[in-house]
Amino acid sequence: MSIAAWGRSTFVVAIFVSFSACSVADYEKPISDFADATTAAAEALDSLDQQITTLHIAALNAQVVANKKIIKFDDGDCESDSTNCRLVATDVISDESEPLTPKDTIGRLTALLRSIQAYAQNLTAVVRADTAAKVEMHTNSALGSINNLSATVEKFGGNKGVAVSDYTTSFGKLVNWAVGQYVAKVKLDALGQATKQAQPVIERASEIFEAAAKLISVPHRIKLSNAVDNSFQAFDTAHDESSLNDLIVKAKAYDSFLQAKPSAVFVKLREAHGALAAKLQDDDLSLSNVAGKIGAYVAEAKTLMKIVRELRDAGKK
Amino acid sequence: MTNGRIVDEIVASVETAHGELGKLERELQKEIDEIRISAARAGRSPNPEELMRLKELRAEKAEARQVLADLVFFNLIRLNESDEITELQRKMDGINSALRDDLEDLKRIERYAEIAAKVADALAKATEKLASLAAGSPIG
Repeated sequence: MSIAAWGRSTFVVAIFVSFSACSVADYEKPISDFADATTAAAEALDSLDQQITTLHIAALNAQVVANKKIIKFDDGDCESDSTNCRLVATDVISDESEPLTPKDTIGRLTALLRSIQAYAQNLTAVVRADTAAKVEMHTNSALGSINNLSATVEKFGGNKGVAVSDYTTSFGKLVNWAVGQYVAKVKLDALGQATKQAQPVIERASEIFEAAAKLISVPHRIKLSNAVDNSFQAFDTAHDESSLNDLIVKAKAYDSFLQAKPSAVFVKLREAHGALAAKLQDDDLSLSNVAGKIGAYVAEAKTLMKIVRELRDAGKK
Repeated sequence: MTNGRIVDEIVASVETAHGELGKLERELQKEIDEIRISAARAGRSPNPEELMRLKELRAEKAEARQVLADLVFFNLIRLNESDEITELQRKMDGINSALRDDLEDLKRIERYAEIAAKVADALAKATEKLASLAAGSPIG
């Protein structure tokens, strides 16, 4: 696009944009909050992935020690001419084998959430781009040069009477205003287009994350419920205050986990993005309503991080 | 069911299995409670024989739970490897790529303004130079 054509288009779009209800700057906080919450959710899912893999390996090892599974070399592995040396645990009844040390369980799912995190960060970069300010700086510099040019011409006898700087100052303000409006239009278009395309993807992805989080919570439930039963057995045997207190502590820890609902954050992710996308498509939704949905997502992401930390700490004990 | 909705199938199968496990756990717990209540009604703690039975019942619960944990683990791997994840990832990559292009467009606008400023500056300097040359020339 030539500079002249670009200049013309800025004035045209400026007229349209000047009537829009929300300025692009109004979206900065909700979008950056959305990005921060998605970063926290992605970190939490990574951590849950590591924890579930660790839990599975511990269960596998226990089954091997209890002779329910036997350790074998993977087919053709661990010999002098092998390319790998991998151990597998084989079930003594079903004869099914699995690697003894899986690296991760849901690596592709966490990668997908990382892509949504990158998307949220890209939205933030668009909304925060200081293009208008930089263009204003260049425009002012250009107008300064024009003023100098005018002064030079005036010095040599041209343009007597009216100071050119009077025109350039007004013109500069107009250009800067128009550029600001044009940049806002470009940004709003980019945000609107991206959120519209991402909405069905994020909606379905968040359903899958929600399902995965529910599944991931099962081994944690099992670990915690087994801990309660073991403490109960210890209390039935000892029947003293110390074992009773231990039982109460274990039951409370399991109850806290059951109330926490790690999958809730992904419901809020879906709702927050849905509201943001709808608002950017000129929906009747108010911006404060969008901010409310994103605020609920931020709160759930913080809760999930807390759960993950507690589970991690409990796993270290 | 198509691979696209394998996720729903996985979730449904795990929920069914979890529901069945819940029934089994409650049945075992009922027997545990009966042993404990009967001992308490007799005014004593469970005797060694009852303690052994309680231990067995709790071990059965743990074993049944481990079967579910294994099922969940394998289903998580299935879910992770489903075609739907690949498709969603491809779409997100496309959206991110378009957003990066939009950021480039914004930078392009900055470059246009920068070029315009440079042109104006060069023009002003050239005019000034011409003017000073003209001022120094015998004709001017």
